[in-house]
Amino acid sequence: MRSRQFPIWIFLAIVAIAIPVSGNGYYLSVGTTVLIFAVLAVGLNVVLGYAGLLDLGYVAFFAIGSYVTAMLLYYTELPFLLAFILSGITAGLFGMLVGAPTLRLRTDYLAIVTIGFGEIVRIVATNLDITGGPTGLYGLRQPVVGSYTITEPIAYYWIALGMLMVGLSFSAMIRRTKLGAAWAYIRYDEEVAQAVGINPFLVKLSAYGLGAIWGGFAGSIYVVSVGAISPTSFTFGQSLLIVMSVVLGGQGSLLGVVVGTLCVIAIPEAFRAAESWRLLGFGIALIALMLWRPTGLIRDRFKVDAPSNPAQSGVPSVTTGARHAEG
Amino acid sequence: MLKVSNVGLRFGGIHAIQNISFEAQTGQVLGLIGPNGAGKTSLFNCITGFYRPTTGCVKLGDQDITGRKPYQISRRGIRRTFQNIRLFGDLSVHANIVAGGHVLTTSEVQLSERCHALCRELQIDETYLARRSGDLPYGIQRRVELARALIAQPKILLVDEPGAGLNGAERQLIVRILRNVVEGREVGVILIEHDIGMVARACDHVVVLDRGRMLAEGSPEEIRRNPAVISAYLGN
Repeated sequence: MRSRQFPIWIFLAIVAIAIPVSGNGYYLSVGTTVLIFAVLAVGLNVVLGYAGLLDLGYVAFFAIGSYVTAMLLYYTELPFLLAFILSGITAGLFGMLVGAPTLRLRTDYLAIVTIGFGEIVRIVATNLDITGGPTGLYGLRQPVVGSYTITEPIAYYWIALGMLMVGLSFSAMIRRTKLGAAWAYIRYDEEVAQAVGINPFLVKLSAYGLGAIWGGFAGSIYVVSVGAISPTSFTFGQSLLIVMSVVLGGQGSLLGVVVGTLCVIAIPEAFRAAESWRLLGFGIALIALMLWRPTGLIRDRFKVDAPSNPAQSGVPSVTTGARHAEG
Repeated sequence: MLKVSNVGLRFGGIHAIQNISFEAQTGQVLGLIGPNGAGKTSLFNCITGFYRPTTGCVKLGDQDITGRKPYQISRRGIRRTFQNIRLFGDLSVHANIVAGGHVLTTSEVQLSERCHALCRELQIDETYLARRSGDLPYGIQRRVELARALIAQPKILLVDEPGAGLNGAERQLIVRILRNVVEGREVGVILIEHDIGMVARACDHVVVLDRGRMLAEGSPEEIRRNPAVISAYLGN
């Protein structure tokens, strides 16, 4: 079952390495954008794909992370690494703040609250002086890590790629823990999850909080790679693109999330001339997907046999139906 | 073991249940019967914390658990099944059963061993363990749901209409399983069931509800002879 995904991973890895090696500046810039969106999609996948929480304002955490780093670089002399960490923490705190009251409710309400939160963050950033108002902040100082000043676009590409790798590994790992299993129970049936003793609020808050922290980190990297910030980068439309990447690719499946991001961000870039048709294309693609492949392009094949595989005691491995159903 | 005292539940002006009191003993199956809408499942929901009783209290041993959250009650050793089977359909049978022990401190290996023992006890073929639970026959799913509750070694097990949708042989099997469950471990079972034959064979004691009130209580034999019960429910 792994083996069928493996060639696609290899292909993606080759493309990911070929882009910077080619030395083509345009590919590099598109590549970095795609990678940052993929990082965001991997974060949202924990919230939406693993825990089943429909967050329609995920870009808010991305924005908070971006603004924290931008402001710290603009107004203070703090080292970039500290700004990076503070971005994650701040986004995480806002995640708790929004999550704590709303995660007690059903997920439909969460969707509405998160849309509102996303808009509030953007509107506040547009109207404050400290965030640079509608024009934002530009000419940010270049980040220095140790004795190395990050200047080259290619460096940002590698950083984004590295972050994606970390995100993918961390997601894969955490899903195999007890917490990951609890997310799955909550996602399938919250009442039954409670009946087996799971505290739904804490379990949901942990997914939401982790997603928020991750979004904050992504924002921090994004803003230094661009060197400027403006509120127009954090619209509801951006949130929708991330949601679409996760849903289109296959909620829960890491390969699906990466492929989904490619479909949503990279393919439209290739047909830039047809920009105005982009949303129409998405609409049609989503409808087609819901009709023919409601679980997304790549089906999630989650095993809940973590943390230790009972195969040792002669138990058949525990898989979801996909293996048997699809051969 | 489980003591329900004067429990009532009101939705706005409607009394779903009123003044229910009984006690479920370890080592016994308590039957809860009554026509549709009598309030049986509402009572289950009050005991397991899905509803908060408007009046009265529920005690497990000497602990008052009234109004606790479902997960807290579950952790104290009250487990349940649902009227319409609710498994994690996309997950395997093994994953579903082990999920019942998720919050225990028991190791994975031990849980897996318990899971196998339960499969033998509940006659779930072990080749099903790796299968997607949603694809299995109804009767097997019922028993998987029971196994998921039992793996936590509960003090009280609430079983909501385990015979619904099953054929005669499968109902017999459920009765045998429930008898085996109470006789082999320290647990009290409360059984909601419509099939009076099953109730008579499985239960030590029966509580009859009608329109949210307690109509009668006694041994299956006494209940069968009770004229009020016959007119409300059995006689038709």
